[in-house]
Amino acid sequence: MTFMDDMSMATEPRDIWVVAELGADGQASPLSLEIVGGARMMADGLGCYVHAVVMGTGLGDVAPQLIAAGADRVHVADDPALEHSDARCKVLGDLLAAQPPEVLLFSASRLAEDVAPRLAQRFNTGLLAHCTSLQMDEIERMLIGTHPVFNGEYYELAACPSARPAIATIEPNTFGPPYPDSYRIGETETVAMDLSGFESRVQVSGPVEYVPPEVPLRKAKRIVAAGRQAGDFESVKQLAEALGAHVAGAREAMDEGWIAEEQVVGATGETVQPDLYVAVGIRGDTYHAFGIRDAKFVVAIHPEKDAPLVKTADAALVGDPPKILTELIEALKS
Amino acid sequence: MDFEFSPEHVALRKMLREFAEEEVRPLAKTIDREHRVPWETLKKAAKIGLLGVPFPQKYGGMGAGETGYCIAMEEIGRVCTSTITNIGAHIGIAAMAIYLDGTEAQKQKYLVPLASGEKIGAFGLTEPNAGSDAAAIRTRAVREGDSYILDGSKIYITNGPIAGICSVLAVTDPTLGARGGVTAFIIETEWEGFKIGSQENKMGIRGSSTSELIFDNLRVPQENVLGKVGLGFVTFMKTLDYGRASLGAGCLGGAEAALEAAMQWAKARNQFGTYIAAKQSIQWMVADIACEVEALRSLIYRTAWLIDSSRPFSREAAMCKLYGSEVASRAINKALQIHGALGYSSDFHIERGWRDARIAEIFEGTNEIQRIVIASDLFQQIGVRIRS
Amino acid sequence: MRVVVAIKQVLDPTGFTVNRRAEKVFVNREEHIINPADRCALEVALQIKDAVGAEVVVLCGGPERANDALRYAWAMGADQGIHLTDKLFAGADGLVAAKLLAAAIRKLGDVELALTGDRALDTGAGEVGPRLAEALGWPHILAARTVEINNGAVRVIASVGHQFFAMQAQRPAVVIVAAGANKPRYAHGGRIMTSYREWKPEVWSASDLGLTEADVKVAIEKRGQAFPPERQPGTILSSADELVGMLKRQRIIS
Repeated sequence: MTFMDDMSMATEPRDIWVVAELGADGQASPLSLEIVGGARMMADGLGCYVHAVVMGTGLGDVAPQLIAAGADRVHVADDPALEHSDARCKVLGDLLAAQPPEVLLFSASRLAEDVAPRLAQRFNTGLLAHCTSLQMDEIERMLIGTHPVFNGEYYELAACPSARPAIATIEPNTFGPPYPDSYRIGETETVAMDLSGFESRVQVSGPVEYVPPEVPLRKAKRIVAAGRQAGDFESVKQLAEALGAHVAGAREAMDEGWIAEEQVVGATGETVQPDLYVAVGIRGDTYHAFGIRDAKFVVAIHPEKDAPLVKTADAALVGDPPKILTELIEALKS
Repeated sequence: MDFEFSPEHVALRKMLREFAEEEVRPLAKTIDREHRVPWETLKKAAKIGLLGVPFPQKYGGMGAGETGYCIAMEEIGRVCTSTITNIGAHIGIAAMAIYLDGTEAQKQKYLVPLASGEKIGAFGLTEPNAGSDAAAIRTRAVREGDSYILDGSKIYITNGPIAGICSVLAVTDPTLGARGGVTAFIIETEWEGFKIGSQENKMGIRGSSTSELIFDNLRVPQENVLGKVGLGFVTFMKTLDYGRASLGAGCLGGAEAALEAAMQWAKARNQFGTYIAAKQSIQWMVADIACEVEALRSLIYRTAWLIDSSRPFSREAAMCKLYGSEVASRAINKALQIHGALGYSSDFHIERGWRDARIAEIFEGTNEIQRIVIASDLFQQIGVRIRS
Repeated sequence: MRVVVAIKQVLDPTGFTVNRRAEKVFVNREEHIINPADRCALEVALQIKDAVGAEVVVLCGGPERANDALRYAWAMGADQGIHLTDKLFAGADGLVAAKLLAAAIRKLGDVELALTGDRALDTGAGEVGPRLAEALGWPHILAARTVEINNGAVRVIASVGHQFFAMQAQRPAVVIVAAGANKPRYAHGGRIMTSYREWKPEVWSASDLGLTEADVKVAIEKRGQAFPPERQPGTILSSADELVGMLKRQRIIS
């Protein structure tokens, strides 16, 4: 077997294909609609069509949504076997081998993590993963994607000059919300497939109980910390839970009896370097600030707009902390 | 002349830096507060060979030589003086004595469990009447058949409470004094007649345990004579020589930590409209610490090279200990000043570093003794004999 | 039982700082580390070795300095280390990396399990594991937290979203290990010494792997860097919704 597994293409690669997914509500996911909208704009610039593929079960309502978002043709593959990554790779791979795309777009989802690289290898092509920005160079007909590196310290731009399809997985908020146009006309096609006798090579069961190794505070990626003005420590804990964050505090939170000494953040406590630090009711003097000098994004929630931490935070909400926390927990749920 | 470390030493340093940050640093405050030895750390250290760094692999050590040992002392010393004192006493003097003058059988029986960290070692030299005047020891070892009976006590012995094996110096012939009358022994702390006294309450290195060793009719088989009968003083002084370079390396680590901390605070602390790093007084203090650290570093690793290439090194090792301990004290003192009131807080690491640093000028041969060693060696080269 | 671990050497992030205003990366100290997720994969392999006595072979591509990564992997306990290097491999992307690894695994023969980390710090793509599985024609399991050998299969607890699932596949298979799945062991200092003084990795070039220049043509080319927006200290927002929007836009939460 050589690596130049010649995909003797039935036709020249053309059109932009989007692998659409369903949200928890059984409708097309917002990210999928966003990507179809982005594909529409790219296709208009290139002068080609937009195809959407959706796989799974209970796909009845989805095609019209995808067409309204900008798809010219929606390929529906309806089969319970399609919950398995093996089946998805096979169906999608066969479909795209018969109608090779110029560009293939995925949501940056678990499905994409499983399927996109395997398809990219099968088609001997490139993958632009976790794109936060995507451009089509219309003259060179080349896809250029921007993706974060080193956990978002900075970004790299990468291009797929000649391999086809150029495959990309896309993060939310890359294209902006689509303009659904219910008057758009498009076709819906059922994907022909033969999954009888299909057996997935991976068997999945669960969910199961598993407790991952504990992450110490100094390595926590997200921290919610309480200060004297936090008011209500319960809501601080709830916010931490909503964010999947560690609970910590300034020294005064320990004096209030809310946290243990190991949870104190500051010069005389722990130095932390989280991606997100939410300081609730912490005025933020030098000694506390010293403990969070390496935090990537600091949010201050405090009643005083002149509090030192409010002046240095990346984002601040001024007001009554318990009230703000209630709103924040609510906003995070949606 | 090549000032680069060999790639294996670079890789070793990287691993030890990670170990120091992940395993040693998180416990530094706690063991000082709770006045306890970090057993959990010592067990982990044993697993990576950190309790036998310089010793050949055939004796269960790492085979990293004196250079590797200084690197280890520097990296761990940078993070916790108590932990490095536990390790340094264990490797640098207790096990080192057996490595230098032990028979092959003694090395197999005692050096291997020490180097692999199965047992912890202590070095029993100092007595209430015999500090700098080590020749004034009184612990008596009387020959009885094929053993010696030890009676007496040692004081201020690091690792005393946790040791399984001790290298001990005792008087075998009171008429001969230090030359010919003193013998070194290897003893096992489980033996009948060995006891430890209560733990010393110290200003610093409170994560390191120090106590009296008490020998009451302790029977030691003659196979456990370390080196030659009557020449124990030579063995012990030689061992202390070797221990000095690595002690200096531990001080280097401490001084580096003080410098790093001072700079971080100078960057973070704002007064009079800007960070204090912009103030000349702070800049000069930082520059002064940095010069001394740089000079100390060169001294330490050149001395390690002298030892590893079997060249004479006594004078340089004494300089490592003398200069290292004083550089570390000056560095932590300046760092404390730069931190202002925060430096005085017992919840912040500078205060602990300041208390921990002080002992280095005293133990392992006071700095006064080091100066005598250095001067003697220098004058000897122009024909003047100072040491008796 | 032979287990292969594919590791990658990446730039040590503690050695550089990013200046958003100047839009530049300043490398203060150029050092390299084994990609953290790959270290977790190596730890998984070594735990399997401890449990059932497997032979662990580590593969690493890259320039001369990849030697250091292989030596450390050997010092941690791997049995064999192979450096895949050739001037034809320069600039290799995920497509080519998977081809190299697949060729090496085929050349080794009798490999039952291939492990690698879920993401490389310096690309963040997470593609090589599944690509490798496709190139070998093997099944793959993503985001593994624990991996056990069970008769002819491999049993994994993997994360999907915030939950954990039990997954199983017959060997040979590729298992992709999540970063942070375990705490990798330290290499014994003595073995670190020996890894430089007495051991060295094997070196396989393009011809050893039976690959031609056409086989290793890359599909992706780097085109530059971009930077997050400068920090705006003291930005006061007016509502919790605005904050959530900002956090999502800046990709701090999803």
